[in-house]
Amino acid sequence: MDKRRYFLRKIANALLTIVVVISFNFILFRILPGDPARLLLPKGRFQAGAIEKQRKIFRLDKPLYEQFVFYWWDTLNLELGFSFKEKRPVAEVVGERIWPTILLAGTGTIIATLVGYTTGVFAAWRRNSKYDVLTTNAGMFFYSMPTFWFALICIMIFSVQLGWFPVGRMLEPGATFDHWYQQAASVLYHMILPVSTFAIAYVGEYHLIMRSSLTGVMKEDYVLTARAKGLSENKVLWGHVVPNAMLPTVTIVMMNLGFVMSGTILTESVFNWPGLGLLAYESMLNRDYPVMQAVFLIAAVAVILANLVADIMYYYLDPRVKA
Amino acid sequence: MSAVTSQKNGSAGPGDPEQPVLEHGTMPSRLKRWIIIWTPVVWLVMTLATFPKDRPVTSGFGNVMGGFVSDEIARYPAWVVLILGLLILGFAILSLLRRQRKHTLAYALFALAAVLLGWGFAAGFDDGGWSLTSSSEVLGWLWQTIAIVLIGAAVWAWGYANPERAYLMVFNTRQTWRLYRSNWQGMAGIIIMAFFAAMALLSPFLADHAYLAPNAQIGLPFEPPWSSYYGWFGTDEQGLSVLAEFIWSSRISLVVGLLATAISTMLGAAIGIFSGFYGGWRGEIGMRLTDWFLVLPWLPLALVLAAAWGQNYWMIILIIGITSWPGTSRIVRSQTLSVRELQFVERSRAIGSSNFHTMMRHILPNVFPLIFANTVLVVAIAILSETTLSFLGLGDPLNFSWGTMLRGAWVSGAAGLPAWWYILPPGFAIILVVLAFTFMGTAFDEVLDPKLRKREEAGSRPEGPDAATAAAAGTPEAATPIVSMDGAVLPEGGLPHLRHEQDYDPPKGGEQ
Amino acid sequence: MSAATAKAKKGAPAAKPAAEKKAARIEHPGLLDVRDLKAYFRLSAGWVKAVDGISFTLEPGESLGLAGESGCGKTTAATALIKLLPENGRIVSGEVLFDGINLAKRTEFGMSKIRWKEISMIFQGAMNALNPVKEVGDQIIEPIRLHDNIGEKAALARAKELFELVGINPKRIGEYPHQMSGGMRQRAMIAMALACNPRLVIGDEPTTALDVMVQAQILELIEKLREELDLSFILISHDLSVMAETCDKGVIMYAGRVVESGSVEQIFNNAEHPYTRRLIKSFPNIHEKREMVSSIPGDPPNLLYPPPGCNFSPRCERCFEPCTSVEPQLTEIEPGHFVSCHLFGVPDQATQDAASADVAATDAHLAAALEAEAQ
Ligand SMILES: Nc1ncnc2c1ncn2[C@@H]1O[C@H](COP(=O)(O)OP(=O)(O)O)[C@@H](O)[C@H]1O
Ligand code: SF4
Ligand SMILES: [Mg+2]
Repeated sequence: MDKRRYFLRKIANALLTIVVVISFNFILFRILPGDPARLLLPKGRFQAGAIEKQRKIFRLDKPLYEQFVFYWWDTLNLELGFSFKEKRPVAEVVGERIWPTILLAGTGTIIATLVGYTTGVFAAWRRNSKYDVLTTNAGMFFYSMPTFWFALICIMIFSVQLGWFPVGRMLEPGATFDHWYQQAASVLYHMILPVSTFAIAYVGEYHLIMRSSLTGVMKEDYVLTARAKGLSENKVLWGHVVPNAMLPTVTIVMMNLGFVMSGTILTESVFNWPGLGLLAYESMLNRDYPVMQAVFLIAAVAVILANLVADIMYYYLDPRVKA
Repeated sequence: MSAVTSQKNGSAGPGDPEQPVLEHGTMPSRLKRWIIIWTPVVWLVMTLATFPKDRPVTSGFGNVMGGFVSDEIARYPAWVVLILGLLILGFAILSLLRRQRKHTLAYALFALAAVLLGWGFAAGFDDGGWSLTSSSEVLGWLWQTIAIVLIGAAVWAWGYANPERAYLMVFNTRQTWRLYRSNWQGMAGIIIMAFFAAMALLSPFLADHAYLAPNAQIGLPFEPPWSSYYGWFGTDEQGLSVLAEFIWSSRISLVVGLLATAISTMLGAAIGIFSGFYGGWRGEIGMRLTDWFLVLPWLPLALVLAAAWGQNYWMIILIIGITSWPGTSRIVRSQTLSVRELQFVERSRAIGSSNFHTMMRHILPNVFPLIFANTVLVVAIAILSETTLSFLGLGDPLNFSWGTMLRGAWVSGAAGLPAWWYILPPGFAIILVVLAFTFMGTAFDEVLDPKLRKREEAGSRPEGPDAATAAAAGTPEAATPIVSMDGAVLPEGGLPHLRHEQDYDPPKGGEQ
Repeated sequence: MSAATAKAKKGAPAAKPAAEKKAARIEHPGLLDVRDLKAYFRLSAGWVKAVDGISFTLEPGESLGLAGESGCGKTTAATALIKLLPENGRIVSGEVLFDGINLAKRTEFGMSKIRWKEISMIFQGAMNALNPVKEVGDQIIEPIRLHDNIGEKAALARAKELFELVGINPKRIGEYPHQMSGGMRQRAMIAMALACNPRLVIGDEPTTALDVMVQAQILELIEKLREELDLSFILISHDLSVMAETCDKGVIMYAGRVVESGSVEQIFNNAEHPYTRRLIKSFPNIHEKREMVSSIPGDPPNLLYPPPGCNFSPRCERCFEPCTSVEPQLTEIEPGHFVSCHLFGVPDQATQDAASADVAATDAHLAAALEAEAQ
């Protein structure tokens, strides 16, 4: 398959999926039990006629197909509605919350990938050694562990008992800085616990995946060939085993990157990290429906894009795709 | 992790005296023994699972025994029982219609259907009028007991009517269990699981449910553990016993995990088999659906649904169920694709069997081991998901699960005290249960994989890179056939696509 | 041609004039001398005696065929020669004398100097023996640069020469394995095996996965190269016809042991061992039938629990009294023709005792190894 067709197909596929997910969002909201107009109001009391007003604003009085068209139009224009809680357009709220999440999740993923891959490679290479047994069981443990529980434990030990790290937040409220680097340092300091929490579950997963992928590749004939050539163990490992073992893990890492929102909702909620995850949690508590919809859409699109990136990376990493 | 596994059961060497011998035309006696042992066990489990909550533990033997015939026990919704009854009635009629020597099975099924239908109507009309949810039935415990005994009888009748198949089932089960036993992780998983399952089943006897009431304080808020039984794990933010919460939580956590898995597995298996069996546009639809659900970010979706539907465990079950099936579906689909190509399936289609028949009779039995192993793994994910959702407050605050407990700890700031006795127990319980299911799932995966299975039988587990060769040359005596329901036996090495040696390219003609 | 010239320039020992070669042959035991080699696999249930005391010799420039049913230990024997057994495999005892050096005792480091430089290998199922994500050219260059210490450019030129030698267009040097057909991949694999001008090439079922046409082409190519480059070759196959067509010498294995060895003529025209005879009979027409030994009833023994005495006794139609208790020894029945069967003489008591003492020693050794591992 030539390059153009491969990419076009993948991109078309991703676009189609995005269309489906956005439409799903529309339907989901309307098949939910209860009056959608009522859902679009915040919790608690509201004035008489408020529902009618909502109905007007969200065009719920129009026929369904018209609603659908307008919904699409608004979504394409990034008009995601109006947050009750913040009394601002959703796009604005989301826009400023997205960066802390990217910072947290990006750093966490990079760390998790590096650490998990390295430990996994060595565990597979020294299979059944003490190191392997230890790290692999630890990996299983971290993989089975609820992230938020680990977050609570971290707070309990490192923030409360030892007092090494702040309990949460990205910056102390009301803190002012003379220089940007001081602010950066403060953010970094606040980041340590959330990032470790975020990373730890993935470290376990990547360790296990890398190990099993490597174990599979090591059984392949071409590894035997490489050793028969007289290559040193290290050259066999890094030159022949690892490049092949990396391939299947690319998709998994990218998929996880797409599902990052699920991880950040927990970490950010526990650590009060002002990102999209915390926003999602808060808006659930406040029934801030438009915001939740937006977060859901962003999360879904992130997964789809991550998939697309994985496909594209695969094209360059695995020569067999080009065939 | 070393190869020091139990050796005496790993090898089914030639002439192994334990190897069961086919008793032609008679029901295997081992199956009889199993029925005699397992029927009471199932009865006990069902009864304990529905044992009334409000029976004070301390109030004596008579009261506890009374719980087994309490009118609260076995309160299933009438419609569930009715539907089950109708289904079984259908099966009974089907098996009566089939040309068979003995109709014992059909009669046993009719009896079972009658009992279930009777139960359903009795429960449905109990409140004076039929309502779908109506469930109180004074003699529920009796109906349940009879139903379980009849299920045992039906299995007996089945074994009596189909001795060959019963023999193969017994043989396969025993073989699987032999291999499973030698897997230490699998055994560890079973032991941990048994511990928590016992805790969940026996919770009415381990802790009085009354201690969970909001006004059942046993001390000040956040009191560290002390020596009285209910004080072993200290108190929570309201002064309630953490131990009582911990014990009763195990029920919700396990039940929610299992029910969600049931939904997920049924969806995944059905869609997987469907899209694998029918290629073409129908298969394409199934695959697309799988792909779309695969990219749905489940936690944000759950939050949206929760905001609309409110907080309860049914919603959690539903959310986990409908978001976790695509993984199963993919695996099942690829397996179905390869089973479909096998000879006996093609033959079955060629002689004009209906597609449904082919799927149920040939595809499902061969995909089943895989589905089973996968299901066990999904339970781990489901329990973890339940915990997560409960932690975020989507659970029922009045019915404790381990996730709800952790939410309580988080919201009340237990970490700041630090009230470790409130945080550690539920966390460790979750980890252990999830690990247990993961261990069991991987163990089953290994044991049920025909390739591996063969090599284990040839002489336990080689860890070397050449294991596939070893597998291919294993002892023929010990080869376990995988069974198609019509008695056809798969090729000796198991499903071909699972064999290593099949990876050769098809030979190409000339050069260049 | 060009590879041959390169070889002559380097003055590799295999390219000595014929007279000199003859002289050398008399002086020392040949290029390769395998003596009573045992290689076992460890399983938790015990030791798989995959290679249980095999012996054969190989002269420079000679080609030897190693044949036997699948699972009789051919691959294990080949990998044991260059000490590349899977991680649960051990060389338990025996010697592999290559040019007088005992490889079985060599260190990993010492072996890495020998592998590919002196002995190279074409693996079973060469389809998978090439790394799918590396260009074929790079994979050929890799050992050249490693062993011959020459620059990238020179190595590439050499790789192109090799491609030409095995009949692939050198332009395809930058392709990936999946872009080539099965036969071409096998040719590339052969080119790779020749990359460092080895003295011995071991081909483990080099043609098994190919269709008949291509099989013939590859065998022809091997023949041609062997003559041109004066290579020694060990050709492993479960297909007797392959051996008959290409080899000077034959070794027949059954269940980890050599049952018969000798020149190809001796084996095909004058087979003595009951197993060899059945094997030959099951190939009515060497050029057509390619099914394996379908006509020998029964299965090879489980090497975890080999039968006492002769391994073939459960399937042997001429099995008689000592066969099920006494292990037969390889005996020379005519010059260069060895058979291991009681029909040609039951070993006397002293030999039997020595053999059982040897087995006891091996068992003790293994038990000690297990013990040491358990620590
Ligand atoms: N890694 C291993 N562990 C245990 N047994 C093995 C291993 N590799 C091969 N075997 C066993 O050793 C025997 C010889 O295998 P092999 O040398 O591959 O045979 P061949 O090449 O003649 O087909 C077989 O019975 C096989 O089951
Ligand atoms: S030793 Fe006996 S059993 Fe073995 S091949 Fe010879 S005759 Fe047959
Ligand atoms: Mg082989």
